Amino acid sequence: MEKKDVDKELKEIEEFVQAFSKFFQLAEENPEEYMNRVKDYLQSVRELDAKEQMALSKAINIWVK
Amino acid sequence: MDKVEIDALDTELSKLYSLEPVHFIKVNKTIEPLRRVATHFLIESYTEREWKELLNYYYLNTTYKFLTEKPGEVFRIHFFNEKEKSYLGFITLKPIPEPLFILSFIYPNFEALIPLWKNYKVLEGLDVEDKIFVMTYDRDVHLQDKKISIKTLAFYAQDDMVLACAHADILMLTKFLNKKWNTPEVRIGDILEGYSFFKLKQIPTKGLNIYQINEIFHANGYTMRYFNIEEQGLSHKDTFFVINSMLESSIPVYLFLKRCNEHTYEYHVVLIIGHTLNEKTGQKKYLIYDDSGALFEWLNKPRTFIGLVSEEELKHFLHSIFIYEPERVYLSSLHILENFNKKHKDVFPKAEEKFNRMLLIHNSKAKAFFKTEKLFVYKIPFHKNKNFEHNDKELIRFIKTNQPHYVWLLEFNFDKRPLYLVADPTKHKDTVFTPFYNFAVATKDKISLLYGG
Repeated sequence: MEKKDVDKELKEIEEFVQAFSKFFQLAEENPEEYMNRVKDYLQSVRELDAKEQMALSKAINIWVK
Repeated sequence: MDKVEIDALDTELSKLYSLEPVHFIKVNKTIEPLRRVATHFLIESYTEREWKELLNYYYLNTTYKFLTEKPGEVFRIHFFNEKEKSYLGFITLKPIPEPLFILSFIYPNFEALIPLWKNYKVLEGLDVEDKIFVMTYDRDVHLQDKKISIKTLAFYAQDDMVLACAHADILMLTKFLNKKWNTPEVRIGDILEGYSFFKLKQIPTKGLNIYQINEIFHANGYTMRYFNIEEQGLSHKDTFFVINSMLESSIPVYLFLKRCNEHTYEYHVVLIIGHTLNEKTGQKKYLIYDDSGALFEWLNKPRTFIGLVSEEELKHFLHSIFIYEPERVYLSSLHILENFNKKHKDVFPKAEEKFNRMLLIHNSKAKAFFKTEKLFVYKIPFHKNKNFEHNDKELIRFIKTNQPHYVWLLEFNFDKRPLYLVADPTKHKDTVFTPFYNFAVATKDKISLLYGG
């Protein structure tokens, strides 16, 4: 890669990592947004776990040969 | 016996079994990917534990005449390619004159077979430019006075009397995990005795119920997750995300398939053991071990022991999956994905565009990889007004301190430069923080836990 391409790529990576890192500081910077994200996550992960249990209960009549 | 040219295989089998060559059509079709690239073979007798177990459960109670000299012995056939001076692996055949069910194991040597399969277009759907990635473990083969080391994953065929596809796939999956992940060894007896739910007379086999399969895994120390695509409303994207994460972690996926006939459903199970990748087109196909070849027949493909199936083809039959997750992995790939999607959403849409794969890896392998391959390490500050910086400190701390047994790696592609995030699977599922470590690493090369290329 040429130097300008390398620089562009590195800038892209840095922007990505900075965007990823925002959550680490969000509790201090924007507590309301922080709590919204946590709630969103808790809701979706509860659904995920409940579905796994339900899925097995619905599989009672399945025989594999 | 010395090495014999491959064309004489049917004649030799006919002599051994006192049967006509036509009787070996099924076994010949199944081993076609080995036979087609072999120039020579060698037959010997071999004591096989699984055959001894089958004898005990059923075959000793029959009137079959056993064709090997000693009880417990099977016929072992080694395959060679003399032009390439390579050893292709071996198969074992039960010593009973019941030709539809004589095949026992296939131990392919992927190291020798992959280049030959590419050159001779042996697998249907394999292009010359495709790379093949497959899960393997190292196994020594003792052949007369020689010891040969092969990269293999054992294939086992059902006998349809004691064992069906569900049993055969448990045996293949646990045998591989035992060798590669040091999980408990599971014998045929452990499978047959490993459940009580809905238990009826076991021989002839009626296959296994999903509850029984689950019981068997747990009774033998295997902690499994179950995903039922229809009932859980899992999207195809999420389903293949889970499948791909397991494949990249070198954990075979136990896949239930469902075919709708006119008024009934037919269920079958196969193992996904790897994939191909065309780097130009990005097209990926799955490498599948199908012990009876039923899936390949549904797809009008040759009924060989191994075959390639695209995501599009699999979609029509996908029912559910069992995946093995080591006991100390509490957050699954989907938990980590949810954490990423819901908490770190500032990276979207870039994250979607750049995401490549996710894999579970032993912490020492991750440490070694980062130590040798790191290009840049980004330290992520926990507090506002602290600068985001290039800094090795957090990675060094990660390498030098005690970490969870396994960690999840998320890989993103920036042109050809990969970037890794690391997540801790031992965090509380309801964590208000994030399971991700506070560093990101750009590396020179990508990590791979699969054999091939």
